[in-house]
Amino acid sequence: MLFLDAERCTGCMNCVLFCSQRNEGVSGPSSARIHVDLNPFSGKYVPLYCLQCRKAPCAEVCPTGAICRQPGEDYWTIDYEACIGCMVCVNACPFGAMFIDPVSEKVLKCETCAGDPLCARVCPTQALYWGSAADRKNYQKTKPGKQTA
Amino acid sequence: MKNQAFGWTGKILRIDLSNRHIETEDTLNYATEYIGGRGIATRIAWNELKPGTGPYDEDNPLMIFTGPLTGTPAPYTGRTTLCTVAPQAYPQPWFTRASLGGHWGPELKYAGYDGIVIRGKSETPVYLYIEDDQVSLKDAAELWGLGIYDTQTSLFERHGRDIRALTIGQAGENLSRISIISTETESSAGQGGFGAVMGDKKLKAVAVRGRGQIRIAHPDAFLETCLAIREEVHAPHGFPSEPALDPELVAKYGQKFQACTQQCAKPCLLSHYYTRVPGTVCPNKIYAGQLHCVAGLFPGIPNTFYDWNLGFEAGFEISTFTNDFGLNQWDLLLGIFPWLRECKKDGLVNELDGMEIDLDNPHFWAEVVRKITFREGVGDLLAEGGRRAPELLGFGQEQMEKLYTGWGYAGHWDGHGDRINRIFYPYWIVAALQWAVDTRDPISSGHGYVQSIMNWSKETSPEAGLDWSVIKDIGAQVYGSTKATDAESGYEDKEIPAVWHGHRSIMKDSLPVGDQMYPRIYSNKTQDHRARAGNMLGTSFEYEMFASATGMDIGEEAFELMCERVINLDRAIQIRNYGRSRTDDESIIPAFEYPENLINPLIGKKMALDRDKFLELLDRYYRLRGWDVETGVPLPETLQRLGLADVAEALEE
Repeated sequence: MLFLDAERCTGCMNCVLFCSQRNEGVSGPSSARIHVDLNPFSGKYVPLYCLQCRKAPCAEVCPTGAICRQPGEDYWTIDYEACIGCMVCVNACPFGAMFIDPVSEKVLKCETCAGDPLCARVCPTQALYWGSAADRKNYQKTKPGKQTA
Repeated sequence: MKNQAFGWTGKILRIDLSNRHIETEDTLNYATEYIGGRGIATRIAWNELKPGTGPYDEDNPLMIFTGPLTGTPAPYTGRTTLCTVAPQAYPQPWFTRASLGGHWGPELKYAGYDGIVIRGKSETPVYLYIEDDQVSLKDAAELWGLGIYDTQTSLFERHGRDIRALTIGQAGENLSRISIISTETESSAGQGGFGAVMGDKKLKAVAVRGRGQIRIAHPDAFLETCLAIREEVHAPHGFPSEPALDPELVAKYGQKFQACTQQCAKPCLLSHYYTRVPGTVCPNKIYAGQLHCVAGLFPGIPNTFYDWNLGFEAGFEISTFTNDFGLNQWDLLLGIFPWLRECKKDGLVNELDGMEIDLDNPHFWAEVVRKITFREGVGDLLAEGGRRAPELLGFGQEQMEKLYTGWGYAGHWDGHGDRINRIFYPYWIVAALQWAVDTRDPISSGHGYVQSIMNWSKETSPEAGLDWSVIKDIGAQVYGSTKATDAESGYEDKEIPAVWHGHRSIMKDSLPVGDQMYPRIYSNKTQDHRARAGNMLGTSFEYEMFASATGMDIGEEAFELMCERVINLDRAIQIRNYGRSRTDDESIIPAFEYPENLINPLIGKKMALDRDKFLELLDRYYRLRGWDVETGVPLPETLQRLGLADVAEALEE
């Protein structure tokens, strides 16, 4: 799972730009599968990305069944052959984590880089962290304040 | 328009505020010879900036340029370089540069532009609004008079919080020579007084929203290169110490790490964000923002030259005032305020406009800062900057000279005027050369020699640092001379690193890459102590990112030649527009003739610049550059070698 501790986010945008470069081959937040809401005047930076809901509204509303999960995997992928670009999934996501690339008009969501998310690898403060549910306990113990980069 | 640009977006915006004309130009008219950022702006200045153009002339272009790496995942590349005729420059305003971070430059590229050239003047306040290919000038009557924070908040309300804005504060509106252009809470083009250029043009802000993307020539190689470099810069190196949060400050003020610039690959020691700091001057207020780099001096640091005692809360508050008004913190903290204290100590002045000079009193700071911003009373003269203030006020010339190293800028890594950077002989000799031939404080993109050596030495980093013998060996490899970094080498071969880092400075301001992190020379994690990522040497990082992003696989030598071209073109502008000569370069010598503040343990005594030896060094520097030793003018053959035959011809006239 991809965990988030938004308090650690520095607003560096590494997750966003490495995501777009890796997955779409271009640099730009609008082609990334993770977005960061930047608020420089409060110091609040909140990454937004697909939480891989067990019961996923996006998949439920998809008229062509394009959003699917492989047996044994815990992340949802988009089958672009089946996707008709109706964007119903974008409205259905309660977290605003389905995105539309305005240039390619593709719907984008985090597919966890097939189980090895680059965003977590490049996050300088481990605000994003990839691990199992068991790892999560240890992760929460390393609170900012004891944190080094 | 042809648009086969990779790395670059391919378009430059040209705005004329006088007739509200907006057009675009092809970036590739310049980029393949001048990289981006400062490089492109320098070429445009050579082409269009006529001699005699002052900072407030309609024909003074305010140029705001990103580079081919801005907005990509390349580590530490989110910056923007601004170039214009700087009101702060001394003895006369002249063409120079400043740069800033934040997220503004990347947003401009996502909107589809590599840079903006702004000419002319508006009669009424306006702001430039760019939303992808929709570019317009909008009325800024309601924004005029607001501070930098409120201006941005107001623009968020109009256009949504996803926009990024460059703005000026009241200091820029009131044409202070120490006014800044800023984005977010404290990312600023701080030095040069560029805020006044924007203020004079009646341009309050440049707000941008971009939804496009930057195409990369070799996406796989680029991604791999960026990841490898990111790994190298992110790995713990322990020098001078690893960045950490202070649990007490986290609990009390909400301290957190903050990227001062997009694509920051690792929080640094210099920059923290605080989400809630109570006010002292305004006790009912709670402030949030970044305390970064020089701003760390506001609270005062015991046992240093900056030993005033405002304390953290008041220091943070004064820092916020200056950020919001849009004032140059360097000139306040390394110039005006210590200068006032020294003048008082020497019995020249006790009060300003009836206020007792007391650097431990936050109300004194707040009042001086406010008066400078609104040009009230004595503030009207201090708004001309610390370099000009003594002449205008009629006292403190001698005290000022000990703080201002050259060109209207207070000291920086020179061992003298700036008493916070730990540097000793012979390393500041290279800084002296950098200062001598530049148009501003050169260190903003020139930390690579002075700071790197001192930080990597055991003198500054006892645990993680390298032995002097290792530093000497690496100097021999990088610069081709055993004397280049030798702690006991005196003036010998110092022209070589000065030239080398001059080119790195162009890379930093043109690609751009962050000054604190590049060039990557030393390491304590490799056998030979050279920084390395996979097969790439640290000193090749800049080129490798440039080549894979733009597809210009021209080789490192040709890439460095592009940098040399920009240095020479900048020099040519100085000569053509301002009559720059060797005599001017030598004018920085007195600033280095004071004994240094820190002693080189291998030498054991305080040193000062030896004029004769420095003049010989300057000879060698000019020869290495291919400049006339008598005049400091680039020789025609040098300019021709760099593809600047047109410049050679113009200079001969």
